[in-house]
Amino acid sequence: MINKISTIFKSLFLLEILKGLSVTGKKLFKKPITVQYPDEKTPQSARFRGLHALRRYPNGEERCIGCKLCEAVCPALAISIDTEMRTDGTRRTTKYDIDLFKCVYCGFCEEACPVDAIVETKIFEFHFENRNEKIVNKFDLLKIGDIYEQEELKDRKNLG
Amino acid sequence: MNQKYVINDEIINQIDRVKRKFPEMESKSSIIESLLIIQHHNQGFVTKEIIQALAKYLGIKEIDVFEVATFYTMINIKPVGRNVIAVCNNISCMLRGSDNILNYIEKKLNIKVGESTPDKKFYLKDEIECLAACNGGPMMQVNHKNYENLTLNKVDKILEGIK
Amino acid sequence: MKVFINNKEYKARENETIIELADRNGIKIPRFCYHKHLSVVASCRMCLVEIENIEHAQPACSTPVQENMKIFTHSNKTKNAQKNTMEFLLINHPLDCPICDQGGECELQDVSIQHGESHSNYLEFKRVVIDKDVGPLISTEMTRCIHCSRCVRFGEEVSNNKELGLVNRGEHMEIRTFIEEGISSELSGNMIDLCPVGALNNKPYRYRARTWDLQQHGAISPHDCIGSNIYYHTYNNEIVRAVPKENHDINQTWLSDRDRFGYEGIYSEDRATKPMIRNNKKLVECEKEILLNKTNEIIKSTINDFGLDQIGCLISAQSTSEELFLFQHLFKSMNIQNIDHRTNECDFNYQENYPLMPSLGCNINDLDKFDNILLVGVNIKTEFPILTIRFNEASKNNTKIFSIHFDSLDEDFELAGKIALNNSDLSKFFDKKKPAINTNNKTLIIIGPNINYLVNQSQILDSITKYSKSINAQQGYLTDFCNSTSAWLFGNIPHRNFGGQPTNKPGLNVSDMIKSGLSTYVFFNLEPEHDFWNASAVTEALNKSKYNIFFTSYVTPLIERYADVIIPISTFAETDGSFINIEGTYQAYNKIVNPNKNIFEGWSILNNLIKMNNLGDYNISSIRSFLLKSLQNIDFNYSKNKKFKNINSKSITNNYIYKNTLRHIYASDQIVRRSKSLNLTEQSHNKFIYISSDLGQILNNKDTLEIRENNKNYKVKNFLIKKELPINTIVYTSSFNNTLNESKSGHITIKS
Repeated sequence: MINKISTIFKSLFLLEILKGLSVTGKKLFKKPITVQYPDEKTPQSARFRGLHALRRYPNGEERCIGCKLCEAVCPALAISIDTEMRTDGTRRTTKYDIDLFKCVYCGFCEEACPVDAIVETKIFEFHFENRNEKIVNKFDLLKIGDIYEQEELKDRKNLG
Repeated sequence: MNQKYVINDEIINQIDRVKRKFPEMESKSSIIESLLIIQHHNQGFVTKEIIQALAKYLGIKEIDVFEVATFYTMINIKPVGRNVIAVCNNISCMLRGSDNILNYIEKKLNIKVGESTPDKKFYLKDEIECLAACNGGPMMQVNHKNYENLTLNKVDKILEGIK
Repeated sequence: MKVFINNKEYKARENETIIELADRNGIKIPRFCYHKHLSVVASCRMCLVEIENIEHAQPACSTPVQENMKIFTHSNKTKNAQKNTMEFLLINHPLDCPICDQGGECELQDVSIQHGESHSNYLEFKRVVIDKDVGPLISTEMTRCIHCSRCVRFGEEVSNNKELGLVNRGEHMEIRTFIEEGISSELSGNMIDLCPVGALNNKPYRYRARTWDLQQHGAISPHDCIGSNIYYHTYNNEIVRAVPKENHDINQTWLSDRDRFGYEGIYSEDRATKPMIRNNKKLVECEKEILLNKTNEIIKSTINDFGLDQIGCLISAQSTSEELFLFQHLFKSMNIQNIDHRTNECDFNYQENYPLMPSLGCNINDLDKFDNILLVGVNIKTEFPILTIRFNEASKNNTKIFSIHFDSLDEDFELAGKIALNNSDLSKFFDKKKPAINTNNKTLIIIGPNINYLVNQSQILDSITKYSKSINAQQGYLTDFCNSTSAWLFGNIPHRNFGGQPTNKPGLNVSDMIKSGLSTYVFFNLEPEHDFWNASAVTEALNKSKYNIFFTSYVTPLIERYADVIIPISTFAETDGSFINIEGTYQAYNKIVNPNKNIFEGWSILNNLIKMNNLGDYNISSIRSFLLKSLQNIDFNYSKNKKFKNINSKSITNNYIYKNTLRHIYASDQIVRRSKSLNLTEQSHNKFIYISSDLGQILNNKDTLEIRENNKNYKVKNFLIKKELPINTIVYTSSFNNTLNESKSGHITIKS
């Protein structure tokens, strides 16, 4: 009986709506937490794992020695590498392809790399217009590496 | 140096005498002594050509002779000085100060261990193991003659006594 | 004998070492220097195990078992010993596993993970050893060496050609060759397998793939008649390396360099990659259907227009058994009898007396059970390098081995006697009894392929057969190609049919086919330039004939010039196949890599032709089961029951000068000839022409030889005088110095 009366009372005076509107009203005068994405960005962790890059030594020599450990450890089988002996007798890759659709951005490749050649940058906003663009090759990866090397070094410092 | 080395008859006689000491099939046994004999006749060292000639004479592989020649310190595979100085630096001598003696000789002759003087008078031998004269350490051997209880003065005298 | 390992009882044999017992029972003991086919040196100390009542851990490889011995392979003491040994071994070992080709199959890596410590107390600099270039087959990285000395012992004990040694001592010890020398042994590749670390590695394979990427395919070596078992490792449908597959009866754990690196010839640039037919004097590409129709049409029209005996079918004995069977089935079913595989020979008078198939006369394992072995016209070191190991074992087992040849050649095992005779003396040599050979002893006479190439081979074979009967000796053969046995057995010869059945109407042999100028030739897997006794005669025959059909893996200049049909076929690696080795073992293997789109498997293209002519339809398993069934029914005592026919051989007089050609180790078949790495070896550079010293005197210091042979004149330059040669002989160490005018052996005259 009491329940019934309280229900009628609540619905008669629109109590629920007022309760809800009070939350809205409170938030209306607070600073919004939404980020206007393309213009604004949330801060990223130094450990963030985005697009891959291949790094170079300061003298311009590519770091990758073609040991294929990243290929072996990759859980998504996204990396494929071919190697050969370069004319100076060092072991180098002739092909270093990452399939970005297969990649799960787990960071194992970074972890496995004995020379810190393959890294995951903080870039996460990339797109393709053709399906075949999903495969980034060695040339592209090195280029990404060249562009973001400074950032990468900073991150490494932050991580300690 | 590319000329073929021919072992002369006198040396061959001596090598044959060595060979007779060992069973006929074991021609490797006579490598050490043969090398020493040849070295004695060749200003104290052996060359690639000598090793090849000896291997051919003994009927064994060149590498077999080379192994022996590089293993033993008494066989030199590069030209060395006429007088061989060997300063013991094993533990007994070291504790008695052989390092000082060695440094002194190095400085005096202006060469490092393992090198010969430019005039080919002295050769300071490398890798000297115990020469069994620990009772008189520090000691050194000059031309296979032992000198014990060395002091810097003594070393001076010994070296000056050599022509 | 009772022995306890880890408190479990095992039965041990007398004089057995602990590691042998453990290996037999599947108990793992880590080791580096121990190898079952090499002597024990106990230098790596990795196999230390605890033994009850002995204070220190003992090396399992050199400690013999004793009654009631209690061994612990997992106790704390053992583990500690292993851990410490591992730490010492790793002191100077570089941490370059990521670029090391051994990475992933490295014994040091495995043992270090299982038995090592994760840190080292050693903080000083590691030592560096300068690398030496030891040749085109082995890459060295001597800093990685842990001085187990397996490679040294292999050279000393197994191949008996010691080239690597332990030089210097202590901290400065290193494995190296003699000053400025490389490794030139024909068995050097085995050191790659033996090396437990990445110090000695496969040079052609260097940095091409990682071990975990590879797929392993068992196969049989197609380069000699021994039939070594191989594992081919493929990466992306391409063979990248070969390693031995253990077979105690044939190659044990070894492999010759020819078998190991020969596969490179498959990837030669002159591979036939598309089917082609000649249209208006020009070779044009075509579809498979057109190709088959054209081929069939040529065969049919030749039979109709010119007759059955105007078609000559030649097949290489390097083809698989399946191909050999289908080839003769196709043509013999059409009543064509001109089939032959003996393309390197010229004297065929012996053929009626020849046994059903060439065979070694004993098992390879039994070679050391003979008292005497006579090698006639064969140089084991360069022709059958893998047998060097067996003959070495035999000579250590008091077998006397004699070599009779037309050249004086070195062997890596001990020869009790060596004699070089010219062709006429060779045939006379066996007329007299030999005092060195006791008739009561077990004797084996092995006739090598170089005898087959001689102009008077029938005479020589005849006198050897008579001689071997007189002294009650076994007679054996070694053949030039891997599957000559099958070729003989399955009827790829003009005078016998499948299974050695005699024919009513024997066809022409190779040299008659070439000489008589038939109107159509079918070549299967043959290279006209190098696979024939006389290339110039072949060129002439190809020129004269109306049609030439080539089933071939490679397009050579002669093929390109004279072929009417080029059918690109697979090499041994791209097809299912089988070989019968010289001891008579049938060994089959499956396809290793897939052929290119336009390359056909040899057996399938032959089967297509067979189907077109309604002569049957086969697949691999049906051919194999048929062959195996017929092998059981074949009467192998064929030659024993057969009456010995006297042959009239070509007369040989003393006045001739003999020209002979040796089989070059790395030019023995069309695949090996194209192997890049093998062509860089020292052996491949040593292609000489030797003349005997008496001819040298006649020449009087002139630098050109003017030779007249088969009514043709030609000049030879750059020859060397070899004192050991028998009188009146010229020896070519490889048929590659030949100009196309010359034959592989013959009588010549010299203008002086």
